[in-house]
Amino acid sequence: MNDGIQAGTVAPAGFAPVRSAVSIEATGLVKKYGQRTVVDHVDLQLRGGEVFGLLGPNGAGKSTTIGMLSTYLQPTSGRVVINGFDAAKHSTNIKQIIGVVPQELAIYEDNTAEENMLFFAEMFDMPSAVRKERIESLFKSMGLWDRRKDLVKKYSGGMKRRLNLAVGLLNNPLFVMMDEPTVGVDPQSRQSIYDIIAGIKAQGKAVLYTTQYMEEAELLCDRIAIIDNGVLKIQGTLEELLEKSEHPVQATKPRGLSELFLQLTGREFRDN
Amino acid sequence: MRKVWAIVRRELQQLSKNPVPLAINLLLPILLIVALGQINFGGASSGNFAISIPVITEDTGAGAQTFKAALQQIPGVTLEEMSLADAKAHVQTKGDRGGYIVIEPGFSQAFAAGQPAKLTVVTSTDSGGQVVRSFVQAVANRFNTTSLMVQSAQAQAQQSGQGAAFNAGAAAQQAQAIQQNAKPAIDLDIQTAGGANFNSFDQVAPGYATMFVILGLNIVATTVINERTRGTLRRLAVMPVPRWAFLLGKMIAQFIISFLQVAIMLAVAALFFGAHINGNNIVGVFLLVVLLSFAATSLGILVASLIKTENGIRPVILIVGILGALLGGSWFPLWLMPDWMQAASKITINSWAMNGFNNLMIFGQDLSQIVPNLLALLIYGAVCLFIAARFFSFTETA
Ligand SMILES: Nc1ncnc2c1ncn2[C@@H]1O[C@H](COP(=O)(O)OP(=O)(O)O)[C@@H](O)[C@H]1O
Ligand SMILES: [Mg+2]
Repeated sequence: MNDGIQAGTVAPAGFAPVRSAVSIEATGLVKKYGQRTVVDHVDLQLRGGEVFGLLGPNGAGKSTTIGMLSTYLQPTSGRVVINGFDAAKHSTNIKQIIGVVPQELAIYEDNTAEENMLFFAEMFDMPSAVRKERIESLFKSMGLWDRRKDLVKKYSGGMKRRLNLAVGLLNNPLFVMMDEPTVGVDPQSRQSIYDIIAGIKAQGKAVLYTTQYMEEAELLCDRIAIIDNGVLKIQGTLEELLEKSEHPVQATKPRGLSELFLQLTGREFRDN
Repeated sequence: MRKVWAIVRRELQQLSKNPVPLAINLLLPILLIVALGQINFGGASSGNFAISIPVITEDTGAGAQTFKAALQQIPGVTLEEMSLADAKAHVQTKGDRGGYIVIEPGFSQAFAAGQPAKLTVVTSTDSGGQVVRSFVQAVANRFNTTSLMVQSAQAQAQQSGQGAAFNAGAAAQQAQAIQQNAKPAIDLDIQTAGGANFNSFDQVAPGYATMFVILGLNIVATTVINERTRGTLRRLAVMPVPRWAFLLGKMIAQFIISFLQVAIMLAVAALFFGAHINGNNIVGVFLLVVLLSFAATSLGILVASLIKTENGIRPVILIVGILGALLGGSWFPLWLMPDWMQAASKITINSWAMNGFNNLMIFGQDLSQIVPNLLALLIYGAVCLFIAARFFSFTETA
C-alpha cells in the first residue's frame, strides 16, 4: 500500500515522476500584520527524502511560515515555489501535492473518524478505490482501524492527534508540513508519529517539522533551522549548526542543540 | 460537484448525530401552529377582540339608527359606513372584514309600522364571517323579542279591556297564538359571499413556518463559524476545494433542512387542520416554499460570512427572525397593518413569502398572481448570496 509517489498526474508537463521529484523553494518570505513583521525574510529549501526541522519559541513565526508555504496565507512579500508551481498563481496544483498537519486539531468532533477521513479524502481528486485503500492503510498505521466508527469526540487526546495527522496524509503528499504534532501526546502516540515520519522520508518525500522539543529535532531532522521573532537565525545539519555557531555574544561553543537554541533565542520567557 | 456533495453529506451526518436541536426546530413550531391555529384570526376578529363591520345605510330613518346603536353597544364592535362596492371589496377581495350589513330603503318605515324590516347581511364563509353573523343575529333577536313582548302586552290589554277575569289557561293559549302569528321586527336575510376563504391555519401555519425557517438558519450558520474556530476551515483551505464549493455545500445542507421544515409544517396544517392547500394552489405553494427556503438559506450564508463568532450569529439571527416575523406578516396578517408598515415590511423575506401564501391560501389567487413574490424571493436570495460570496473567506483577515 505504501506505493511511493503519485506525482505523475499532478507534476507540471515534462516533469518526470521520480522518487525525489519534490522541491520546495521559499525566498524572501515576509509576513506583516499591520506594522508588525511576524516573518522576516525567510529563505528555505527542501528536497525529497529529508526532514527539515523548524525550531523556535512560541510566537517565533513557525506556524505563519507553514501558512505561507501551504498557500493558506499570502506572503506580504517573497515567493514560494513547490515543484515548479508558484504558490501565488497555482495554489490548486500545490494543494494537490502537499499535506498539512495543523498545530490545532482540525477534525470534526461530531463525526466519526471514518466520516472525517472519507470527507477530507473527497476533497482530493483521486479514484475511489485508491481513496478506500489509502484510508484503510492510514487507519491501520495509526492504530485507529478498530475505532474508526467512533465519534471523534469520544477519542483520547493522542488518538485525536493521530487522526489529525492521518487526515494530513490522505492525498499521499509529496511535501508534508507538520506543525508541532507531538504537543501533549503520550509517548506511544509520539513514537508512532516518529515512525510515520521515518516512513514518509523513506519514500523520498519532504517533511517540514516544527517543534519546540530539541531532542525531537536531534532525533528526526536531517537539517534544522532556528527561527526567532520571524528571523531565521541559523540553518544546516546538526553538526554544521554546532560547528558554525560562532555567535558574537557567546564565546563558548554550545554542547548541544538545547544550549545553542537558548544561546540564539535568549532566556526570557516567551508567552507569545 | 462531488466535493460539494461530500460537504453536504458530512454536514447532514453531523447534524443527525445531534438530532435534538433539529427536532426542536421542527416540533416547537408545529406545536405553536396547532395552538395558535385555534385562535380566530379572521379578518373580522383578532386577539384582543375588535371588529369593524361595514354598513351600507340606504335608509336614514330612526329605526335604522336604533338598530345601528344597538349593534354598536356590543363591546369591540364598530360600524363603518361605506359604499356597497367598498364593502364587497373588503369582504370578498381583500378578506379583511368578515361581512357587511345593508340596511335597505324603507327599513325605518316598516320598523315603525310593526312590519318586518328587511336587513341584508353578507358574510364570508370564514370564522370572521361567523362572528359578524352571530352579532347581527343576536341584536336582531333582541328586537324581535321586544316586539313579541309588545304584541303580547297589546293582546293582554285587549282581553282585560273586555273585562274577563284572568285565566291562566287562556293566557297560555293566547301566548301560543301570538307566537305563531308574531311578526319578527327584523327580517334578516343572511347571505354568504364567496371570496376570502379563511381558516386561521392559513395564516398561522405559513406565518410560523416562515419565522422558524429564519430562526433555523442558526443550524448551518453556526457550523460555518465552528469550522472557522475549530480549524477545519483552515484545513479545507489547504486542500484543493474552492470557496464556492464550500459555500454551496453548506447552502444545500441548509436548504434541505429549511425546505423540510416549511414543507412539513404546511403539510401538517393542510392534512390535519384544514389549511387551504389543494390541487389549485399546490404548485404555487411548492414554489413559494422552495424560493422561501432559498432566500432564507442565502440570508443565513450571508450572516455566516459576515459574522465570525457563534456568539455574534445567534442574536443576529434571533433579531432578524423576530423582527422579520413581526413586520413581515408572520404573526399578524399583512393586510391588517397600516400602509406604512406594509411598505416597510417589503424589506423582510417574511412579507414576500407571506403575501404569496395569503394570496394563494386565503384569497384563492393563482400561480400567475404570485409571480412577483417568487421573483422577489429569488432576487433576495441571489443578492444575499452574491454579497456572501464576496465577503466569505477561508482565511482569517487580520
Ligand atoms: N492573524 C494574525 N494577526 C496578527 N498577528 C498574528 C496573526 N497570526 C499570528 N500572529 C502573530 O505572529 C506571531 C507568530 O505567530 P506563529 O507563527 O503562530 O508563531 P509560532 O507558530 O512560532 O508559535 C505571533 O506573535 C502571533 O501573535
Ligand atoms: Mg505555531
